[in-house]
Amino acid sequence: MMVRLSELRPGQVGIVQRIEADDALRLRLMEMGLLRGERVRVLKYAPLGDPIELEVGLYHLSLRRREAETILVEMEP
Amino acid sequence: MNQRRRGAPTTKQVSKRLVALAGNPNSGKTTVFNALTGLRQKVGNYAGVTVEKKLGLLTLPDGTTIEILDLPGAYSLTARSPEEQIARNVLLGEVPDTPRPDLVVLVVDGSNLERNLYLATQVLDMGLPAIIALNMMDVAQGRGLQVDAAQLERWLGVPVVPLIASKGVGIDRLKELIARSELPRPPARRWKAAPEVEEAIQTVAQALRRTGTVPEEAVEAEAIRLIGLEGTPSLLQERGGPGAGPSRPTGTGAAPSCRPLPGHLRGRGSLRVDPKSHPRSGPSERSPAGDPERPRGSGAHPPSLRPDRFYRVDGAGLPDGLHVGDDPRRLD
Repeated sequence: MMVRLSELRPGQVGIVQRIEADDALRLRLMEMGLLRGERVRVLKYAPLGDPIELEVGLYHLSLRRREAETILVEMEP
Repeated sequence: MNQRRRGAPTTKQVSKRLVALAGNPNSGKTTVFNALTGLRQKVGNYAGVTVEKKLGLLTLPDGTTIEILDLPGAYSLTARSPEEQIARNVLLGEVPDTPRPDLVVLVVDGSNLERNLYLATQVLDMGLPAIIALNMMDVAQGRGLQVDAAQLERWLGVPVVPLIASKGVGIDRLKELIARSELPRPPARRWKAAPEVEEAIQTVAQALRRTGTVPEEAVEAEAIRLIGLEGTPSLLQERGGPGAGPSRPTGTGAAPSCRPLPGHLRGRGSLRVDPKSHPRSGPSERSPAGDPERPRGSGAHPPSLRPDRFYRVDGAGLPDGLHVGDDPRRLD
């Protein structure tokens, strides 16, 4: 099932499928390792739901909710 | 800041060598900088921007001094932020009061190679003599990672020094290497993009050569960088990807699926394993039917100019022998 990364709950894992951001942001996200096929785990949300802490590969990444919304992932069961 | 390199009439050192430290944020770059220079630092700004310029002096056992420049931390040289712009400009020798460095020390977080090697390879492609300071080896070890520095050295073609900068481990060896006046330049780009992209690279490179503004050994890297920036809009043009429906006018693009690797490296070894969960297909591996990357319309950049074609640093590309064990935190 394809959802936005921002819809995952803590602990859930998604596989990156698409990034619907403008060029600059997409390039930056790609450079940060968010490439198609990459597994991303949502670790936690900050108190107001923003930002979101992610685990990508061997590192952690924090994204604003607005940024995470641009990332479409295939949810892992 | 200029007086040291120019002028200096008759006296001992004509000009000091300049060594730039480059690396991702949080790679321990500043720790390395401090370990090399001690307290002999001065901090200023690059002209016209609020980017900090940190210079220090490294004194060698024989008394000669080398200037160390701590470049701003950057994840890439694509230069979207002022910091990355400065890093790129310095490496190309385009900053007015900063000569082009004689050597780059790339500080790489050994516990996080996949992300760090992206910048590293971009910098290596710029053709300056370089040393990889493979930092945070203790952290890597703590995570159960074994990094084969010798193999990395063979792969990248430049010296690799394992470091634990926070404890001073490896710093002497690093100083020794920095002290060598003759360090080899990194090998010429070993990877090839798709043929159309290679053609574009050569075209842009030729144009750059005519301008005479980019050092010859960096011309291709700069061409690639420019195409990467310029080519981005083509991401919007095509390819919905699975479940994407018809193409949207703007703001829609696929995450990249391919990071072309040097042919000789493709498909060997793995850093992150599990190719099944990493469906990455190079241009040549794509099935011709239903190719989601087929260009639509004309006028747009061919999809082969998409910048993600240049993303090549990933686990699948690491040759056999570069072992990075399982991440204990990684589940499944």
